[in-house]
Amino acid sequence: MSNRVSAAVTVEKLEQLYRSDFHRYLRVAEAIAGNPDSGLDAVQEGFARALRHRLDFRGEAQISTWVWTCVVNAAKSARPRREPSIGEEALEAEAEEGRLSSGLGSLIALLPERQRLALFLRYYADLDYRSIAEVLGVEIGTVGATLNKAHAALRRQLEEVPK
Amino acid sequence: MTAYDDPFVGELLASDIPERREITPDWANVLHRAGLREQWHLKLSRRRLLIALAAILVAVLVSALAVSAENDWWFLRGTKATPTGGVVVVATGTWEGHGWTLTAYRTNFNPGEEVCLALTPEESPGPRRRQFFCGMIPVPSEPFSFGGAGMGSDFPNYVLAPVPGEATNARIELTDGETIEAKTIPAPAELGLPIRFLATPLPECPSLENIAALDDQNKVVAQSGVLHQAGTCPGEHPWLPPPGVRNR
Repeated sequence: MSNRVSAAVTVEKLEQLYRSDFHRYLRVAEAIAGNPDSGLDAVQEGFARALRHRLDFRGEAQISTWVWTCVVNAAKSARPRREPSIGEEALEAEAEEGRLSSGLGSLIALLPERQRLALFLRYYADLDYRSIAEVLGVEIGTVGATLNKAHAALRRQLEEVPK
Repeated sequence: MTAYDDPFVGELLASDIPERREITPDWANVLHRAGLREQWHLKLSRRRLLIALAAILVAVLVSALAVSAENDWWFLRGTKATPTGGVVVVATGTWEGHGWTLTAYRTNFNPGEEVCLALTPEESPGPRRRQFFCGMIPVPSEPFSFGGAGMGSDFPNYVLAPVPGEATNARIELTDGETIEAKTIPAPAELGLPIRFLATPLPECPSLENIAALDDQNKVVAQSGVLHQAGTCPGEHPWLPPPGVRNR
């Protein structure tokens, strides 16, 4: 339990976390929300939610992980809702909206949400599997399996991309 | 990397990380969104309020002490010539770098009203530097009281006197023939007396011959009646009032 924090979440601790890891949160939030402005808004809103609910924190996770949950949820809310879709039409629509920064982004956008989130948290936020599991609310083994599927899907899609 | 990581995907995603934007974290905005900004301000306000209250308390205490000090003038201790009104600060000034305050008040301790004067040097006033006396309210053509001090200290010798209200100037005549011209000081309205005050420094070891109160035309309004008054050099006695003038 050494990596568990039972201390109360204070405004000062949250501010310290905000200032030290702001750009990590922003990078992931932008990726999830699909555009920079929404990403920034999600980080602000995520920390605001953490502040509002800081007294509910039970110390069952690290504070940073708990805040990640808040920011990820805020970023998911900031992303325009659309029906799950696969195909060129969907990619073109997202590209027109400017929510995809690159071809890889387009491919990631085609992945199921959990796989996308797992990828962002693993490679953009550099969270370990346990933290990702806590943020996504799944078992740690599920994180591995989810990432495996995401890797495979990306490789497959990359192979299918016309050279 | 763990067993589940894919180095290829990892490198691919790492290369796809958007450039870090130059955005300054805005914690105040977070507080505002959380509805804490106002609470924070309230806390600050409470703190400021406490500071303000403390400052007010200090100010009140200082004022009270000042009032207390004002009512605790050194010259009121032990004198039977108690004020019938308030002690009025007539003037403040500096002689040779030494600050002083001239105060006056009315009293009716003796039959008939009198005016009391005091000159208080700023720095550690001692009995040789300060001066206090009471005398009849000056009127034209009648001798007026005077006083002075300064013996044996850095504070200059000086002469102090109430003069009739018509006397805007004064001429101090010394036994060696030297004369000193000085402007007189009007009495503040709150004193309620139509008089003026003479307060002027004198040279070392002065030997007074006469003090004349003069009007705007340099005509003598009244005189002190001093004749060959002893000086105030170290070892000598401070001036004594002329006949008819009571010092307390």
